[in-house]
Amino acid sequence: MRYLIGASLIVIMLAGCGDAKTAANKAVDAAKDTAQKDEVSVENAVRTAGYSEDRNAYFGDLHIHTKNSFDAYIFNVRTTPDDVYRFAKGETVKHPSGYDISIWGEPLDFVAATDHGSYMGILPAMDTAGTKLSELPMAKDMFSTDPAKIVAAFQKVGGSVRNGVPLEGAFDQKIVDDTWQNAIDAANRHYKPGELTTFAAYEYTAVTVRGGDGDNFTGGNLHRNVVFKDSAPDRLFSTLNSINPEDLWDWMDEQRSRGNEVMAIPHNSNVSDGKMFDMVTYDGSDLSKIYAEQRIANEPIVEMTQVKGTSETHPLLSPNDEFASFEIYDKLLGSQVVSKTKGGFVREALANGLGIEKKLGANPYKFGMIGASDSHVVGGAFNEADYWSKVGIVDGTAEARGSVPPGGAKTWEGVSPSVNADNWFSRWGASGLAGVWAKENTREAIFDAMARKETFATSGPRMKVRFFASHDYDDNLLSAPDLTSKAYASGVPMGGDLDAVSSSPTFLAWAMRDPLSAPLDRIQIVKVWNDGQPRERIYDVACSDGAQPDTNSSRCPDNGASVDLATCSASNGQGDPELRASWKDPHYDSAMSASYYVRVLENPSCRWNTWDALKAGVAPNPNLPATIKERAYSSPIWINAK
Amino acid sequence: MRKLLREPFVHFVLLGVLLFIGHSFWAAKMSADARTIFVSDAEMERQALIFAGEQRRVPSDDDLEALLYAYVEEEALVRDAQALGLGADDTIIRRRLAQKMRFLIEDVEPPDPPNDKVLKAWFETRKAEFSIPARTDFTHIYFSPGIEGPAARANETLPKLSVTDDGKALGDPFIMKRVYTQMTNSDVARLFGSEFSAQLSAVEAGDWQGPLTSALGVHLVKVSARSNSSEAIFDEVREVASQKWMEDTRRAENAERLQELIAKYKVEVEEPK
Repeated sequence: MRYLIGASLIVIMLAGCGDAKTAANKAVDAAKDTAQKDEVSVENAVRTAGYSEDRNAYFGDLHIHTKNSFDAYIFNVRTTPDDVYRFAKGETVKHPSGYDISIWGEPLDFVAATDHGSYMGILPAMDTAGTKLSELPMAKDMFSTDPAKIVAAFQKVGGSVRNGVPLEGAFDQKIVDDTWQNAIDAANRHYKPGELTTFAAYEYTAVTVRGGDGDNFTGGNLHRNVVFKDSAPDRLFSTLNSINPEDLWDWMDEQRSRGNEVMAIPHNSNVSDGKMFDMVTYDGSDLSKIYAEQRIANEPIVEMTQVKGTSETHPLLSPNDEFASFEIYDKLLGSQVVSKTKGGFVREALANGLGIEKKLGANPYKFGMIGASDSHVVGGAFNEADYWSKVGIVDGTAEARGSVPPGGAKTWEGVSPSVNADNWFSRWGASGLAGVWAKENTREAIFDAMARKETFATSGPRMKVRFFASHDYDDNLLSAPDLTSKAYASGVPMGGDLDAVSSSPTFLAWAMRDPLSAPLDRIQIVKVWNDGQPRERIYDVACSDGAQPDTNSSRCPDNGASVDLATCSASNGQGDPELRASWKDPHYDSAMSASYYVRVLENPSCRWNTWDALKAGVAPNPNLPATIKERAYSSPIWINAK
Repeated sequence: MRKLLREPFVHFVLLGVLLFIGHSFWAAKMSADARTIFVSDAEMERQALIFAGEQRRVPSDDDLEALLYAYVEEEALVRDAQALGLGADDTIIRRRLAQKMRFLIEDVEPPDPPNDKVLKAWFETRKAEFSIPARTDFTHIYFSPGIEGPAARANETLPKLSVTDDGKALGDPFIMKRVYTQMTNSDVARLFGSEFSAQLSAVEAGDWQGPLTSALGVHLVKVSARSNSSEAIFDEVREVASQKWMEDTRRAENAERLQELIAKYKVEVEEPK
């Protein structure tokens, strides 16, 4: 016996030494790597194909789920992180409803799989014969044919994700760790600098709950995607560690100090029950300067348009914005309860942020904007004419989405709307994409661009949007052949800051159409400020077809573009491929901090539900919008009063 | 009497009578069954669970009654429809049946990866698909339709250009780049539209040419270099080829299963009159 104890002690000590050595080696290797990188950047040798000093527009999707997400698996999704990257490259993958899907237009420039961190990989393990998890009664229920048992088992997992208490027996840290490691490996495997940038990423799925956590719960979305620039830790931080997003920021701060550069990107603030951009902390205390600084350091950009609605603004918040009623989705998770409007939309948050800054000296809501799909079938449906929505077999058919009448009917007469379609799926849309201005397509360049908020969001098409401001731009700049490099040289791009001086800076707004989508209708500049209340004002700055904005209303005349709903073909002759404007704020107040962002509108085109009906040869659903004005949003530029 | 019993004709008649009586009883029983809509406890339980799943609440007694009526209504309609053969030429039902059958016979899992010999032989027959695409280096000057007469302005500009000019100080500003390198046709189509891509591939390398039209406006272009498409080298595309082989093989296997199924039938097509 004595020998045995001695032997195990030796083993333990050896193991300890081994660990120490490995860690030391790792540190040395890391230092070597850094040294090498520095050398390379000094020589400027790492310029990938397509490098441009004037920066390129790259398009990507940083919000995609695979079978490793607990909900996606129940939606019958069996595709993997590898399939996310295959789809992004233009390859074809299978939709759970049995048909093939592939991306609209050319491959994406950057992409990340973002499975729910909580229970990552657990459901596939439960569904694999021979695993310990598959023996659980809960696993048997989950994969039974009895809808009630499935829902009950699924809700158990959902409840645990929400309340952060791991389910005894069902939560297996090793499986989560292994799945996460596989996700990191898949991202690394598909990373091809200059061609396709990938990131190790996952979703932190915090939920604010109304009405208790029982069967009558309704959930507000406090979800964030956590994106690592390059290296990623062995273990992720999920709601099973803490359901308070502020704890996530602490963990991210720690990751950064260990060399794992990381950012979190909130999404679906529209259904956060007013909590995403709240005026108090998670536990209801007053905001502090430390809170504001930590939040914006960790969350420099927000995903403000995606399949589950657009979170720019709401008609109730922006009654004077005639384009505000755009892809509004407002039902709390899995319910028919309407999410609280205030605190859920980015325009109001940008204004509130300025108010908080005045009071505390830091702005928690000084964020840039991107779009993403949130597809749960490994690939986003960005094209209205080829739409497959989001949740697999649940909304994979036109009938399930409410765009084609049920039971083979040709018309909508006497059809009572399906509750699920009416509340959820019909209101979802073919959105969105992230646009990024970066010098090249590498992890460093794309991530840094997002960190400095040189990003824009689109509702699906690949419009290009530039936005600059400066006190030094001259009147001829707008037509200068080398406009871009001059604009960078003496101004700031989207995401940037300017100190206020006595007169308005010159803003330069510029947009180019997507050749695959509709021509442009107009460019608008949205100004927000805070005089104790959040304020906003919209200026049309460039109109199509040679028109000028009205001096009183600052609106472009209607360009008359229309769509033939019988064929979805657009009227000819209206709209421009390119719009460009130089603009000064006529209501400029140097004593009032303000932020300005660009919104670009396309001519109208058929919304997906009209396309679905057209393809099925049935009448379009009269209760759904027939057309859509696709759009793009730049990140703001902040003009800071002294 | 005995003689009569030995008569084959009498046997025939008696058998016929027996058959007739038997069939009448059977038919009566069957039609009684067919006219009963039996709603089992299990069926109602199932309906209630579906309701609970969709509505997120337990059905009330009123709901249950409504579910029962709805079920009986649907069942009666379906049975009468079946009796009338309404399902037989219904496109939706036919498609759904065909789809279910297709799911049954098709394999969704890819086959095992091929060995090198198989893959190489296959690659040789499919080389063209893996060929390295042509690439173009070009510079362009942009004339925006937002400003009067873009084509006329381009035509005015062209004679002023010499082959050594980079054109950077001419034309309108362009939101993307003026100089592009190593662009495939599809890269060009993605940024400028396919009309421009087709026109550009016809432009000879050398001096400034145009104007060309794109989805974005009018352009003068100078192609500085162009590489032709070239044959792929097996070792460089092994992984991609393997993926493609598996996808193709899976499709081929599925197609074969479908052919086997069709082969069970004799197909006759009426000649058009």
